[in-house]
Amino acid sequence: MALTRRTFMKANAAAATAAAAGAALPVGAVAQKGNEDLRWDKIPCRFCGTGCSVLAGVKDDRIHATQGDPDAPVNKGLNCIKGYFLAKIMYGEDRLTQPLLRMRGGEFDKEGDFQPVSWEKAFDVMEAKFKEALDNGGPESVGMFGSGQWTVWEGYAASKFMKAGLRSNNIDPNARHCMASAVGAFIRGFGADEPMGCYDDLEEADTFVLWGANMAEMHPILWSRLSDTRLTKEGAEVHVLSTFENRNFELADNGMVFTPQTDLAILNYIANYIIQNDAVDEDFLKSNVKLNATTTDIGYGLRPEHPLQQKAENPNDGSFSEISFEEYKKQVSGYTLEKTAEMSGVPAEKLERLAKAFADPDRKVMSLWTMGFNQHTRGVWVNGLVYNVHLLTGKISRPGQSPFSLTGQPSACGTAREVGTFAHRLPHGVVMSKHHRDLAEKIWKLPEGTIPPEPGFHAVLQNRKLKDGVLNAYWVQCNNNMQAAANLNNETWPGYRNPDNFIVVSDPYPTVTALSGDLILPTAMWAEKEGAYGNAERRTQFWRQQVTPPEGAKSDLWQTVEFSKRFKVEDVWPRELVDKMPEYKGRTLYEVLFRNGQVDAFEKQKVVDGSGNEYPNDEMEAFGFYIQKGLWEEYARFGRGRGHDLGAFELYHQARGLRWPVVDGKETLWRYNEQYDPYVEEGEGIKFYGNDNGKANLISAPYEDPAEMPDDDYDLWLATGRVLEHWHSGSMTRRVPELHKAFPEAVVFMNPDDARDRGLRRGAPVKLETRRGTVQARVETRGRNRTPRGLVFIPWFDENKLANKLTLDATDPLSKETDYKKCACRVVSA
Amino acid sequence: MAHDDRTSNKQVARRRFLATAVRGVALVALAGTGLGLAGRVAANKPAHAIRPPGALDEDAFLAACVRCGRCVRDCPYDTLRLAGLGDGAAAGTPYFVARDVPCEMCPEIPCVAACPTGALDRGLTDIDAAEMGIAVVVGHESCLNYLGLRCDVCYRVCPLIDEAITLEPRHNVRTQAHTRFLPTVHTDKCTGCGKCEAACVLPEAAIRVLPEDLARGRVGEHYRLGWAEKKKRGESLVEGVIDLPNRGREGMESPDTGSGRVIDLPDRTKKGGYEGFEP
Amino acid sequence: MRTGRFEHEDAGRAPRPGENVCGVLVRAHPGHAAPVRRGLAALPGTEVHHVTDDERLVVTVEETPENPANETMTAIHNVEGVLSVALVYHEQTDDPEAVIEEAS
Repeated sequence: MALTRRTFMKANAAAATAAAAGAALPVGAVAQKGNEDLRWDKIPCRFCGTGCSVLAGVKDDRIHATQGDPDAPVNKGLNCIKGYFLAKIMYGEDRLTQPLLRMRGGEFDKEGDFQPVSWEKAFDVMEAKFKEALDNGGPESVGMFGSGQWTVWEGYAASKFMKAGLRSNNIDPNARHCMASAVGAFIRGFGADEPMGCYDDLEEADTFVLWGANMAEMHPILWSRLSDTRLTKEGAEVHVLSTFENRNFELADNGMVFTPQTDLAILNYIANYIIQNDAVDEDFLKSNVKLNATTTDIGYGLRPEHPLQQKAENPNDGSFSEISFEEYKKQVSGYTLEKTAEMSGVPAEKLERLAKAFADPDRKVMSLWTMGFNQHTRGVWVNGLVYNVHLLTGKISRPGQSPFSLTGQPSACGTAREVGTFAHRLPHGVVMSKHHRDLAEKIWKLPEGTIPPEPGFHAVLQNRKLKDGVLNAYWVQCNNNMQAAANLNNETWPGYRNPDNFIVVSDPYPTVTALSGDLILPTAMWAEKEGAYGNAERRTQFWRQQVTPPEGAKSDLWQTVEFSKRFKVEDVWPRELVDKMPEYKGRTLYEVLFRNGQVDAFEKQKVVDGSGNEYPNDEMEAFGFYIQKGLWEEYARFGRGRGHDLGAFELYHQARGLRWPVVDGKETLWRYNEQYDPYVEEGEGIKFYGNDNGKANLISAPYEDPAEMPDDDYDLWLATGRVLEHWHSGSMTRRVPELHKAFPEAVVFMNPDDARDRGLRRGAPVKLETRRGTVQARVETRGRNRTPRGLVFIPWFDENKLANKLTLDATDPLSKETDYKKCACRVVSA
Repeated sequence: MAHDDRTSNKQVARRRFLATAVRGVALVALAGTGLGLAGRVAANKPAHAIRPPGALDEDAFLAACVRCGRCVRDCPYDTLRLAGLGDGAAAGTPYFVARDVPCEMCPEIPCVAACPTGALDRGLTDIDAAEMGIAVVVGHESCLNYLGLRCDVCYRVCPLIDEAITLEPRHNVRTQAHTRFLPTVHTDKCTGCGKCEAACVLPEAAIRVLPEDLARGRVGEHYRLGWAEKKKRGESLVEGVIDLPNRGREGMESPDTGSGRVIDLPDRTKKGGYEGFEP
Repeated sequence: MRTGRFEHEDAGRAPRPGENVCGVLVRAHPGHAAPVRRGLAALPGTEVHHVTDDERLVVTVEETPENPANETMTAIHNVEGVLSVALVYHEQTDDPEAVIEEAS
């Protein structure tokens, strides 16, 4: 029986009146809707890269409740406030259930209004547009923008479809905005991506250094582990570095607010201190490290005609060359305590305390970082500099000795990085390497030369090429780039609305990106499909499809694979390529890529959990074979025996996630260490086997100015970022009323003295202006973030206050990752 | 904006009801027996009805307030409302319900400035000194942070974060690996603005603003906190006390606490920023 | 002034059933509880939930378009045998027919 507000009010009125009369009223019990009969099954949280595991409670094909999995090693039953509301994220009022196409007079029109169309019609128009682009501009004119929120097989299928099918490397994930600098430094330093350590270091270490990672808000559960170590371990201490005071400072033994970009100087000072104070682990350095210096003055990843690019001597040059220890010593010797304190604004005694923590042989140091390092015009350098201080002291690849790059997306590692959905990557290796292309073509059973050897357009370049009309047919899946990509007004929006282009956006909700496109495809999300995510500690976690999506919504996997049926190899491959494998003549890409005897190797079957409950699998139903399993097993062939061993498909449905390399039925906690890593032979101790010489590269790099700094016209630093309550662009969390209420709109965090100087009181509406755009918001001089004089911070979750109108599309020239943490702005009364 | 529209529609509907119903009941009361239950309800202002900043003690406030509504008119956030009969507080007096619309703590305190009688004390010039009520964590079994989750929304929305509400870290005995961050209200700093109660994500708020007399606990004057007194004095309150060495552990200082000890945290940062720091 | 404005805006709108619900405590003259109960039952939107031993009646009044709550309350007073009427509880909603979901 449905309980209406009216009956409820009447019951209240009667009870209150009876109470006033001093009489007890026999109240009819309202039927309690309890937890009974819920089917519980494990599934990783949809949000950040921590990888908390939850249990989803399903009844009548709907998730009624979730709970933290008390036995999950990462979170042991806990969640943050976003995870607490997971049960609600799929049920926003405006879920999309029909493809929407811009139309006028019944046909597609770039300037038309969105009208519902069938999937058939949607794919018809898409097919025509993609083929038109391929005919006119070749593979360079089609592209895809994906996500670190794709499931592993969605990313794998998309990458295969683009790189092998359409023969275009123009596929990049939003992880470009997030992790690319970390990847760059891993590859340069160790020849292999992803951290050597794991979350166990949070208990093993006694000294924690946060370099531009607001863990208190962005990795709340990991922060609660770190805090617990700080609370319960004798001598444990926490150093926090940030360009403004955030919630980490609450626990900081040594809190440091530094001038933006001077993290480069601080790290060099620490290296200098270590050398000057004879704290170098010389044995370790000799056997395990090669010393190098990077090429300098490399520009800012702007368009080539930009004055700053013109001025740079070695734009985009990522090369480095070997140097001697004496040369290295000399390079860092300029970063003295006095000079660094002056540059950074951090008191000398605090800097020295930090350096001592690294130099102390008895301290186990875990460095943690995310966007402060990665979204940095010298992101690869600064990632590398933190490895330098760990390498100098041998504090690496050992329990508690851990430079650890945190991730922001649930599968930034598992999908974007490991599957290789970047414009230059393959599931193993890079497109530039003949050897790696050969391997991919062999596993994929494709003719030699299928995969193009040049890197495709990365995320920022994709927007530029859309604007320039070079990239014409473009598919966005599982992200909200119109709210994320820097310099929205001048680079992103013009490209999406360029009349030469056709933009497809797949999303469960009408995001600003979806509404900026030409065709919107309604998408099944999270628990509505079978999936796999890989978190920051190399842990891969699977889940079963818990519920069926709303009628009409389809997963990204279904969309990509189904769309591949629309192309014959002759449509997309040159004749000489087809001639190399005549058996593919007349075949569709679906047949060549996904019915290749491998992906379709596993027959349709029932998906059953340990208790015998049965689960749907819409994609298996649609294609007639266990496609997720087929994609997984084909993908796993790339990594097995090459340092990235993944276990068998079923194993992951049984386990609470496994940390790769998974060899002989065992997980790996610390890589490159003989004791823990099966790839290191007995007696080798530490071996960085990602590089042929078995050594890590220490790469010296100096301080260089950022692309834009405050001046007379724009007198403040602007940093952007997140808040705990909302995840990224808020497309999910802003549809949970309680989270919306908890942080309803973006505010400008400003130093009270800066506000007073401008005649602004707390709560006053202001215009936040940069050379690229203006956002109106209210001033906040109190609260969670306390900015120093001269710097303001605005979160970017609010689609009504698009912070990316302000940000500068300068990138790290090596990783191509945008610097969202610093540009120049001004604040005036609105 | 949709949210604002809903709010104001609701207010219109409510006021329309009051305008008519109040007359009806007044008639009844006049012709009745003088039971005056409605009047009693009004005098016993319900705990969730919070007076504006600067309000005098309830009795003095009721005597001074002329029900002019100017404070309500000048409230820029539509926080304050005028009480009608159904609302519990004396009809015509200003109040707010934190869960619905909390006080935004305007630095210039326009409601106080508008008060013609001093029912809202003009002596209140610093909004941080307001004492509208005190937030209390009432739901120790439902508060997500008490359960070990990472919500702390009340803490982060607090205009006096780290002063009025702090997070007290405690070892999570169940997981043995995490910290429980307990939101703790400091009654001397809390103004009772109600931002925490409004933002609490639970269906029923686990933190609520209560009138000060209901909210504050007090340690008996016959007992002092030994650790606080020692800290105040900087040394033990008794001098010349000795400790004999332990056989077999001579020369080792006896540890302050045993295993599972909680190590002192650094001093809290108070107002933020670093003095003299200018990039 | 705002309150005046609201009273003015009030005028034109007809209430929806159940938009206002009142809890009313009615005291009957000694020995009159039963006839009062019958009399109240005849009033639209009125429901008697309980009669105490000392002849007080727990009553709810729901507003209907034809019978605004204030008129109903006046009518209650005019029911034969009623000694006093006190409004104890009032709740108002925008959407009386909204289905309440149990919190999960």
